[in-house]
Amino acid sequence: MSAEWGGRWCVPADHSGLAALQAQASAWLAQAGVDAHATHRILLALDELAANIVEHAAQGRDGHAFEVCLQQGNDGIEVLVSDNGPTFDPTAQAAPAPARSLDEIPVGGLGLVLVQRLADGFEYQRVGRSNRLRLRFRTQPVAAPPAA
Amino acid sequence: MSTPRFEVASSPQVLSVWFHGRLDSAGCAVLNDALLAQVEQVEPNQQLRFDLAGSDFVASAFLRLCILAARRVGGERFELAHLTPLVREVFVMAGLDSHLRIGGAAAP
Repeated sequence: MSAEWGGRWCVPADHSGLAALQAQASAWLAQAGVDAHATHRILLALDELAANIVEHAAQGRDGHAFEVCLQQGNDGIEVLVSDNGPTFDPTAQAAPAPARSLDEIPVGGLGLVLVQRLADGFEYQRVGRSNRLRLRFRTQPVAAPPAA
Repeated sequence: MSTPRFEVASSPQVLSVWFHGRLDSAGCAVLNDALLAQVEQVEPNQQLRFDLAGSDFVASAFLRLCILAARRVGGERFELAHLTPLVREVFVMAGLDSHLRIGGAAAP
C-alpha cells in the first residue's frame, strides 16, 4: 500500500455526503487527466459503494462517516474505501443467477454486481474494526504534451 | 453537481418522462417517490417511455426504478430511449438489456 494518496476525503454517510463525494472525486480525476470512460467507471463504483455504506453500515446513525482515497498507480487509478460498520465483504457476494424474466430480476444487490464488473481489481480486508475495500481501474495512458 | 429532475408529457398512446442531470444514488433518492407516483398514472392503454437524452450518469438506484416501472406497466409497454453509450453500458453490465426495451441512442 502506498503511503501517499492523491485524494483523501472523509465523507458523511448521508445523501449530501454522496453528492459531495461525486463532485470532489470528479474534480480530482479531471485534474489527474483520467479519460472519460474510466472516470465514469470509477465514479459509478464509488457511488455504489458509498450508497451501500449509507444504507447498510451507517444504518441511520448520526455522525457516521467513511473515508475514500484515490491515487494514481502504474497503469490506472487505485481506490480505497474504509468504513467502521459491521463486517461485510462485498467481494464474497455470489453473482445472482441470470434472470429468466423481468419478475426474476432482483431489485437489491445490483450495485455490487456493477462494482464487481466495473473494477479491474476488487479486494477486501477487515483491519481492526474497519472494512477496507481496494479497487483498481485501468485507464488510458495520458498523451504526452506536444514538444515545443 | 445539481439535483436531477424530470418532466412528463402524456398523449393517448405514451406517457413520456424526460430526465435531466445525474441519476446517481443521492439524486434517485430525491426523485424516487415522485417518479413512482407518475408511473402509477400510466393508463392501461398507454406506453411508458423514460427518455435519458438529458442524463449521462445512472446508478443502480435508477436501474431499480426502471425495473419497478417496467413491472408496474408490463415489460412490453415500457421503453428506454436516447441512452448515451456510457449509460447503455450500465444497463448491459447489469444484464437488463435483455429484459428492458432499449430504443434509439442519444444524439451525439
